[in-house]
This record gives sequence, C-alpha cells and structure tokens, in this order.
Amino acid sequence: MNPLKIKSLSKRFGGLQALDSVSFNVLPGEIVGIIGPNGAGKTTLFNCISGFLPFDSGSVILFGQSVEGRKPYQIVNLGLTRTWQLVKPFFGMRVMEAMMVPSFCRRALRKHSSKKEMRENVIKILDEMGLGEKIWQEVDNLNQGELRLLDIARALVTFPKILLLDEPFSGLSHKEIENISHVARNLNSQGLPVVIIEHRLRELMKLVQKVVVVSFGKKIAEGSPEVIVKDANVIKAYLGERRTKIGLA
Amino acid sequence: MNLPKKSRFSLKNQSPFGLAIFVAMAVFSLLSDNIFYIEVLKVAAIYAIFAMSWDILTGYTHEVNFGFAFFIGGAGYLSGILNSIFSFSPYVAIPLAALAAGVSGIFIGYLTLRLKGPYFSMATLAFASILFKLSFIFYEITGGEEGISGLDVFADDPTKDFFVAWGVMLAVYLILTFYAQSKHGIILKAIRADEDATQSAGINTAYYKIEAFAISGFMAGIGGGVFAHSQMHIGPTMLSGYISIIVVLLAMIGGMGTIVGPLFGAIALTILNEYLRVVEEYRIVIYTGILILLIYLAPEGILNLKFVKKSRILTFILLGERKPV
Repeated sequence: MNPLKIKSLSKRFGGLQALDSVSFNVLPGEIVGIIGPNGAGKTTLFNCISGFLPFDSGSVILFGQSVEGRKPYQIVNLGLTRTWQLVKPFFGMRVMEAMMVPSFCRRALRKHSSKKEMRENVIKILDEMGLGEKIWQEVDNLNQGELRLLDIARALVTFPKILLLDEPFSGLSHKEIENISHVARNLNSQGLPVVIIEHRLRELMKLVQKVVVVSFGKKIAEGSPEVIVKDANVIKAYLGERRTKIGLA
Repeated sequence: MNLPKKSRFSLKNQSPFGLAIFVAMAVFSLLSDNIFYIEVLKVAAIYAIFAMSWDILTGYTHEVNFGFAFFIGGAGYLSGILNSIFSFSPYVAIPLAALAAGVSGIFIGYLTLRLKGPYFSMATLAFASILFKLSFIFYEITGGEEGISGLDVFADDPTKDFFVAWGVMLAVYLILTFYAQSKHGIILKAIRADEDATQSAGINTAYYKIEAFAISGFMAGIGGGVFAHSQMHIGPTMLSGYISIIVVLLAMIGGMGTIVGPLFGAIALTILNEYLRVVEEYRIVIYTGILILLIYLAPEGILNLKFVKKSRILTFILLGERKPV
C-alpha cells in the first residue's frame, strides 16, 4: 500500500489558485523532494495534507484512509507527522519536557507499555539526533541547528509512518545541513518515507530519489533528480524564459 | 525534574516555600487571639484561592482571563441563593455552585477557543459584565445593589472559620500543583509556546484548553462560595471588574505559571493592604505605588525573577523544581 496518494488536490485562497489539481504518490521507503519557486504552493500542499488547511477538491489518501475532514492531531495519530518551515520550539521548557509533549499523543501512548519505556525511547531518539547531552537544557538556550533537530526529534516521538519536513535546511550552516541530511538518510534506511520541501537544491538533490516540481500551484514535473535538472519546464520556472531578442540591439 | 508519574501524588515535588506559607498561616492563627488579624488572613486565603485558580488557565496558556469575576461572583451568588432561598447547607451549596461554575467554564472555553490575545480577554470581560448586569435586573433574587445578606457561616468562631478557608486553600493548592506537574500542565505549557506545534505533536489542544478553563472555573467557584459564606454576604462587587483586576494583579505580581507565585502574591499583598490601614488617608496611594514599583521591578512576577531561575537553591526552595546537574 502506498503511504501517501495525492490525487488532483486543489486549494483556492480568494482569487489565488494556490494548488491546482496536484497529484503524486509517495512510495514505501522513498525520499521525495518538493521544490518550486517562492509562493508556488509547497507549504500550502503540506498544510492541506496535514490537516491544518481544508482543501477544496481532490483527495489525500494516507495508508488507505482519507484525511479529509480530520483534525491535525487525528492525522498525526494516523501516522503522518510534519515539521514547520520556521522552527516552532517550545520555549520556556526543557528539552526533555518538550520531547514528552508528543509522547502524550494517542499513537505514542499505544506503542508504549510503561512510562519508563516512553522515557527510554525519547532518550534514544535524542541520542540519535545528537542532542543527547542537551537533554536537561532549556530549549531557549539551543541554537538554530539544534532547534531544527529538536523539531524533527519531536516529530519522531509520535512514531510516524511518513514524515513531512518543511524546509529543514533553511537558516542552517553547511555542517548542520550535513547533519540533518544524515539524520534523514538514517531514518529512510529504516524504511520511513520522507517528503522534503527545500530551496537548497544542491543539498536536496543528493538526498532524494524523486523530485516533484510545483510552480504557481501546478505540478510541472516529476522524476529523478538527474532528469529534473535538465527539464525545460523546470528551468523556465526557476530562471524565466530565454528571450530571442535581446534588448541591447 | 518532575516527569509525570501517572497519578502518583508526592510531596517531593512541592515547593517548600509554598508549604511554609501554609504552616506559617496555621501557626499564627492558632497562637494569635486577635480576631482582626485572623479575619485578614482569612480574606488573604480566599484571595489566594482566586489567584491560584486564575493561574492554572492564564499562567499556563497565557490567554489573559479578564472576566474572572464571572466564576467568583457567579458561584458566590448561586451558593448564596441556594442557601438563603432554598436553605441548602453551605457544604452542599458551595460544591453545587462550583460545579455550575466549572460547567460554564466548559461553555465559555468552547466559545472562546479560537480567540487569542486581547480578543480573548475582551470576550471573558463581556461574560463577566453580563452577569454583573443580570444581578441588578433580577434584584428580587439577587438583592440588587445590596446583594444577599445573612448567609449561613461555617462556624461561629473566627479561628474555625479561618481554618475552613485555610483547608480549602490547601486543597486547591495541592490539586492545582499536582495538575500543573502532570502531563496536562506540560501540554498547557506547550500550547502557550506554540499551539500549532502542539497540534502537530498529535495533541488535541482544544480539549486541554477547555479542561483548564473548567478546572479554573470550578476552583474559582469554590473560592467564591467560601467567600460568600465566610462574609455572610455576597454583593455585586464580587461580580464587578474590580475583583477581576485584583485577581490578575495578585497573580501577576506573584509570578504567573507557578501556582506558588499567585499564592504568595495574594497573601503578601492582601496583608500589606490591610497593614497600610495605619495610614488610612494615604493607603490607596501607597498600595498602588508599591504595585507599580513591583510591576516595574519584576514584570514577570516575583517568583519568575531572573536570579531566582538561575539559582539552583532558590528554584528548589521557591518553586520546588529540582534542577538536574
């Protein structure tokens, strides 16, 4: 069964067609990249999939179940967890406390038999993310890269069957990007499908197996990274059309 | 670090400072035979109930409830009516009134769920003013401006009367600290930091907000009922904006989001207010002056001051948090 099937998904904000019948599938164990110019509708797509925005038409099928009409927390309990473009840390809490929040969701509670097991799982995830030493620190004292990792770590506590990362590389240094790429690849090697929105194409292309290109709400291309970088439509969307007459003459 | 242990109650996570306040109040009232002092402590205890129950909603979610008089006065009136017209005993009337306040907390919580910031405050303010006006419209039941007098007291002896308020305060304090340290408190703090992120952690945030509203209303209702019966009178002041604002001030100066803070703030400031009666002409000026000074020096409240949070020993003594090394 495909983890995620999106079929002619549309969303309109007043006069703006934010998503215009976008369709694609996420296959088991796949890393999918979603790219597109600013304002193309990538984050809207995530918001529609994760239940934060109602969509107008089309369907989103998550492991055979439609997400339509479900609340965001119900979709998390179905096994889809997302992170946000801007980090959303729980300021005013300690790292451990912040990590406990998602472990109180129904899905995580079902997986754990005891509080001790829950705690051990949280510590294990933090260790894998390289945050093991920060466990008792206050979230306020972490840097941008660590906050990003904490966001992803929080998402993992809910035992996702598919993970949506919204611009996980933005605002990070090269080394931090390497770190997050490594984490994503690691998760994927355990069989978790990951969908990534990203602007840093060089780093993204190394990571993903399939790329979906969105522009003005429409899907304009889909394929492996090698094919996408040569696609005429994609180049047009990013760089504009080549003019035959050049204004100097 | 107090990770929630499922429904296990322990004194280990209690703030020594908070417990010391209780002990000090009890010892003082047993030793002193000055009725005036005991009366003051009783009022302080009741204000502490208000401030603490306000704190569980606003301190933990940062949505400022400016209509707390709705719960306090509403429950006070209801238990007064049950007592004076239907001659219920206060021990029955107060829980019933508090239950009604809790249920209306669910109702208001549901209606104001999507409101944030000033809009939330204004909506809660409106609910309180509606009740304030209603108390004048239905003057046959509520006594209009006079209020309802001659309610049954708990005991004739002021010391016993004080201990009823003290016991209720202790119970409210223990329940609220327990609630705040449980998973519910952690989730409320997460909602305060970021509601969307809490939802994407798979938490039904609406449920937890309404639950906090209901508990806050219920506890305030108990406080309002105890106030009405210990004063033998309930009047429209308890429904007015005055009481709402006093509660906000007491809790904010003590330190929001700590439960101990509002307890300390309410008791210290009520005692200070009464102590200033020695210079009655200037009392209001000095009292407000001190409030302004405190807000200026400790905008986040006395127990949330930076040096308290930084010091391991002070955090433990005042807030009961054991910082891991």
